Amino acid sequence: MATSYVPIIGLEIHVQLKTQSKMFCSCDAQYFGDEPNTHTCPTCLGLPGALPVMNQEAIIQTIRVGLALNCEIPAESKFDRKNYFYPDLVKGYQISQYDQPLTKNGWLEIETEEGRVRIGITRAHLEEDTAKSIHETDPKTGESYTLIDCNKSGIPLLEIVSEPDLRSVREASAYARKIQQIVRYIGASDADMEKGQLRFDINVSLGIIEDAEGVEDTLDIVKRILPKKHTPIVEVKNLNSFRALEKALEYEIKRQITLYEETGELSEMGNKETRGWDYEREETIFQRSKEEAHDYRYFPEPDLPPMRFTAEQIETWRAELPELPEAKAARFVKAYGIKPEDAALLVADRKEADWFEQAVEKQDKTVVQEVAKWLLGDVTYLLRERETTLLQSGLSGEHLVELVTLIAAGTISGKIAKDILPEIITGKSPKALVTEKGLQQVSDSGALEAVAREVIAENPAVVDQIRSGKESAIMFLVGQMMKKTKGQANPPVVQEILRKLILT
Amino acid sequence: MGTLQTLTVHEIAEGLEQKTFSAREVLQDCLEQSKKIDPSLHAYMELLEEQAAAQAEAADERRARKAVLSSLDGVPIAVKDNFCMQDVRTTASSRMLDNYYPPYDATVVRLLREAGAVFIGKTNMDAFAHGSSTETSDFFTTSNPWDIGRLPGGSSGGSAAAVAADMTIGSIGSETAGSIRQPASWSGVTGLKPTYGRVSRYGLISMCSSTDSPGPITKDVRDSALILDILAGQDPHDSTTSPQPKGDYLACLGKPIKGVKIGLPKEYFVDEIEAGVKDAIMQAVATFKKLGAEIVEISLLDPKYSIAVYTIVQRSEVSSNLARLDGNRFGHKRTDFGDEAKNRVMLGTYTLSAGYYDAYYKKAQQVRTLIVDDFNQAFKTVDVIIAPTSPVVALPKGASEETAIFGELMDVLVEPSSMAGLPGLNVPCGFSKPKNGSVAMPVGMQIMGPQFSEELILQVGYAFEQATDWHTKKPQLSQE
Repeated sequence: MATSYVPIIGLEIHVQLKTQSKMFCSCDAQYFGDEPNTHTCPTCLGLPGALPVMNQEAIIQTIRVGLALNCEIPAESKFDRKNYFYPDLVKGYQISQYDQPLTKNGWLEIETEEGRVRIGITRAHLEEDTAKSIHETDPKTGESYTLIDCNKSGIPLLEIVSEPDLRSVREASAYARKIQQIVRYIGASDADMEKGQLRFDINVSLGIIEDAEGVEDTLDIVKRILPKKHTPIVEVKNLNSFRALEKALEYEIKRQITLYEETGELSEMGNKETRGWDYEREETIFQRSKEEAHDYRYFPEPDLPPMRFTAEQIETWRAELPELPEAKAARFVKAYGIKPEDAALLVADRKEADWFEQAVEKQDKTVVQEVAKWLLGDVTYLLRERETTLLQSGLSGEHLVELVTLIAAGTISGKIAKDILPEIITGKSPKALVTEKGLQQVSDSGALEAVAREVIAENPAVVDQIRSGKESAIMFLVGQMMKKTKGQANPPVVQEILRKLILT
Repeated sequence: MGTLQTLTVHEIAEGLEQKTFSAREVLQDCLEQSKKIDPSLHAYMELLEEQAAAQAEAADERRARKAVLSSLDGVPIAVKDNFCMQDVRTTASSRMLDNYYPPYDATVVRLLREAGAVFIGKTNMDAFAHGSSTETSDFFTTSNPWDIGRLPGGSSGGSAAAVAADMTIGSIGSETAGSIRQPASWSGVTGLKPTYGRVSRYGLISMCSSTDSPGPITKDVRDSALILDILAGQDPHDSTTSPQPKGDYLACLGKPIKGVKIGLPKEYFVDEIEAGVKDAIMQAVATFKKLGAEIVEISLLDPKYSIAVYTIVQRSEVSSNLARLDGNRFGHKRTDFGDEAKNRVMLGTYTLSAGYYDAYYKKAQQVRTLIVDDFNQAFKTVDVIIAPTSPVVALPKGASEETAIFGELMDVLVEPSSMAGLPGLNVPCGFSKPKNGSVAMPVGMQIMGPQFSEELILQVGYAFEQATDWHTKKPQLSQE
């Protein structure tokens, strides 16, 4: 009897919120790249006697994310202390949320091989980030030591906890990317992984599926019902890139299959384990088992009063949410007749989507579709080649529409348009370029007839072929004419003239 | 030697106003007294002679320019060593912080500084305010000015002794459960513990965050009112301070108390209360009757329940609050904590642990709610409640070492109101000679009111003080 495995994955995603000041003090939260310990005060240094004060902006951002993730927003919430010792935890406790998170019971839908699947979101709560440990070794003595940079201490940190509803590496990755997109969309975070603004912890185990139960279990996969038996849950902490997320999952799944086939060990109370990720060897490493797990001794933070929200406040925040990517894509499909897969690409980044919409405002559907085609095709290719982005480039929406319009009107050919695109993305006007370089397409049949006669005279053999019935050979002559006119001839007009001169 | 150190805050303010003397002269007399007396009392962690001199000089200059900041301008104030004072060693009388110089002022310190107060010194206390004796100070024990073989009470024992011995004009203490009222009682001075949230805790080294309350320790009620007037108010740095506007703490003084209903809770007069203490309180009751107040016998929850509640809540918060002294910073390893701190951290860690939280911390908070309700009920029938502050007068040195929860037992009569966040005022109300003592020791009476009723309790305390002269009694001080 063959056994198959289905990964059971849950994600904890940490997002640094984009706020002016830190979570519990007024220190400037934009610290990236600054000298260590320059964004600090008694509160975020954890000095004796210092007290926290809540950052309202961070609380509202958390609620907005919760609303975007279809969460409930309880009318009451509070902060708790999570007590543990670590050198980068300056107070000996982290102010976090335990049993009354700001938002809970949400969901997010992703596309999977089984179709669209709803991934449960247990909660999204607010806490403070820790300081940063920098481990160094003295090159002379070989002595190792750790330095602490408190610039990161107290940065507002949102933790989004999913249900164990993800069933593959691809799903986990898609879910994580979607979270990144949403927090960026609503302006809650830049979620820049390079700056450590988005980090993942994964919980992974393997559901064991015996052959006989195959059919039933496949249905369970679609419904995201937990398999009856699964391997011990492993938590891998602190993954700070999508690559690490994917690699760690792949590694863990393989490791757990091997382990299960050797030992047959299943999940039970107390055999959960925590592992770390070795970025160089791309392996998970054992850190601790459940027996050694922390007892965080949570209790309500006595320095902060509980928070209360009115239904009006919550509705206002809901109403103020921007259009989310999926809704925007659906609207693009409907309003402009763009293909769903293209619409998804167009809305990937909110600012670029806005750029597109501003560009095509008041244009015909056909123009909009052409602009989309250019944007997702040649423009994207060129921008990538130049290692820049749409918004960093000089390309204006007006110019791209102009280019598309020039092609549609027959003023220039597609080929000319491609040729001048590099200059257009630096900010030059297509119209001006065409005039300046004399690139207007020649459709004047008088002028073209003269060139056609030249081409016919130069290619008697091809002309004979055409006359003897192989009409497709005419394309060779068209090509010749385009060459002679440096691409400025209008191909349909050229073809018509050639046909007339040769066949009549 | 001068005698300006014997004056009260309002007398100093008046003298400075009338140019009878200067702030420098006042400081001079207080410093002289301190240097003479403190070697036998050990009330001060440190005298801040140099900077106090500069502050006094600046105060005199302001007065000359007619730019006086407040009625505290130029008045020497001693500050308990758990209030952070910028660039001044702040240890909370603990070895763990014996070389700690905070880079910032506690809000209380800042407000006093802005009011022109002269910081004469930092006062000794039980380390981290864990105690009711000053015997758990990691440095030395403070003596009671009335009998140096006895304890001044605590944890604000240094602040109370410094005022009682005229080594300062006024002082600042902090109370978590009794730490202002009890040492004020044992040392024979006035002490006001404001409503929780009335005075900012920012920069006060946290003991029990949910009850810590800074307040004045002074020679009379008017002085406490004057200092509260400077300290009270919402602080953007402390989210637990109340937005409620502060009262007019001076205008209420001198108002008659005829018709004021004073509750006498029978549970606060049990057998464990020393006879001399009970007698003094009953005399005070007679005084109140004479003043036209109405005495009403009431019943409150047995204060013993508060010991359990307070012990759990406070230990739990302490275990977390002290965690920042993790051995990585401040120059000491965790093994350098004193025994009392270690005991509290261990007990608090236990009560917060998984599986015990519900049985201890959560249960304690539920009972705390009952205590709050109990007081609310009582205040439906009476305006204020009076009781002994401490069941005994000052005990001999060494007493705290015999009992594991000495502080809780000494503070049994102040803990319920502390857990409920209520304001309480200790006023001297007599003397009682302890069994094995040679000197009669001061007895203190506490006046408790509903939340934010500081005006009322000050009014009642002031009326009592005006009708008696206990607050004017001075100890016979001797140089060792």
